[in-house]
Amino acid sequence: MSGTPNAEAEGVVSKVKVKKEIKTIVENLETILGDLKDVAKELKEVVHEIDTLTCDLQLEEDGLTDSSKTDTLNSSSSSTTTTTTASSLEKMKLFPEDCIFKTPASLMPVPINPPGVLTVLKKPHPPLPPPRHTPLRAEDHNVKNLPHPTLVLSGNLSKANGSLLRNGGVFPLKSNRDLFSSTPCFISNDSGIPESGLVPTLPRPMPLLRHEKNKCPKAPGREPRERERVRFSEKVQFHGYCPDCDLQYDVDDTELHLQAELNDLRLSPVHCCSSSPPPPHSLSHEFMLENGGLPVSHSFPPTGNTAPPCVPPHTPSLKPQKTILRKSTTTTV
Amino acid sequence: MSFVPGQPVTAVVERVEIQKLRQGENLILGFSIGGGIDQDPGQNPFSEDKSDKGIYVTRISPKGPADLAGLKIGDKIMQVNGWDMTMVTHDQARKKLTKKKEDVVRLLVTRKSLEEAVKHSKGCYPKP
Repeated sequence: MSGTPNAEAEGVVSKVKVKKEIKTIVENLETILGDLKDVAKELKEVVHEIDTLTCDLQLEEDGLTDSSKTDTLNSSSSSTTTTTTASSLEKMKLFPEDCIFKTPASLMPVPINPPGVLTVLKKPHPPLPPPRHTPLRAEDHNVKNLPHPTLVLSGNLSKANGSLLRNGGVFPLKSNRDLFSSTPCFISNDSGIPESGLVPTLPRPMPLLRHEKNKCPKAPGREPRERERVRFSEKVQFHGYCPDCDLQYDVDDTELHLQAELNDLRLSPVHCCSSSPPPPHSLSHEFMLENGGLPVSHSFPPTGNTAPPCVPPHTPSLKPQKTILRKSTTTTV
Repeated sequence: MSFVPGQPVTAVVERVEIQKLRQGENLILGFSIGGGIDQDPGQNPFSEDKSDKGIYVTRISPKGPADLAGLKIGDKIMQVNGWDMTMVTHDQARKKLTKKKEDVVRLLVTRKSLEEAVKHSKGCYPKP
């Protein structure tokens, strides 16, 4: 009998402690979230740059566009299709998420606390050189194990955090603002990810090699097939546990849109760059098909500003409206 | 011209018959279309309902077959030779319009002015 009040008191004390810890964790998570958003922004810029850089490249290499044009020719009347798509970023190569998920799990070298008590560890580790310049060094870092992940998030943040929080596992955490440049960061996604490992990895071939060799045997096969773009939304909220009121926040999962529709499109990067003042060379064979008019690749007739959805890279600020379906096709029949 | 998915669509339509014009080895109709269920409807300047994913006429070549047949810019194409155009992808619409073996297309198109015209005429008519 006398034992019970003590036990109760202890229970209360530990409850308070737990709540405090949870609060700390939540704060840390918020920090991470902010950093991730920055990362996302920068990634967007990078992607835009890639777009413009590879816009020209894709012209000849991509046999799709040519075949599509001949297709329209064959289908009788002269119908020219001009497509402007929101993104030609389907070229982003993704890696299977299992590769990504495996390694972090194996890499969490932290003690597992009894369920119910969460421990947040801050693991300092030396900043890693960007992989693009030093693929070899990346190997040295034993990419297979993907050194020192600071962060593991699932595509559906709610899920990840929920699961991480719930099984009482440990969550190694580094509160480092400089996530972008130095720390390796996993941004994994249910449907694939632009890059796993270090963020960002700009010239894709380099990290591709790295990953192909080490982790993802499927990657080479995966590249040509899947060209999905993952878009990060501004609205990213986490599944939080409010320590004060035992409420659970509603989760708005990250809107990671997949541009699977892009796969249906025949054209993308070609018209991406040809949509702003249409360069004659890319539309030369359309020229004779048109009914005397110039083939203008613009959306539902241009509302003055034929700004192609393939945005030139000088817009670092994020657009408020982020819809994937920014496709607009006009076909002349 | 908005409609509720699942409910029957009623619209006042006009029949437009366009004779394809042979231009070299191509048969042209002389207009451009936009829209489709795979397209972004918000960018359509002609639709009343910005969620309308129908096929719209976005451009008419002057003096072309479509122009001569009376097709107007901004028309929504409901049918092409009997094929429905209200729930098709952009490419499907294109294909229905550009059949090599057909040199005439009969369209059912609708536009706001048609409805208004009917309403006005109904208004003038004294009901029995």
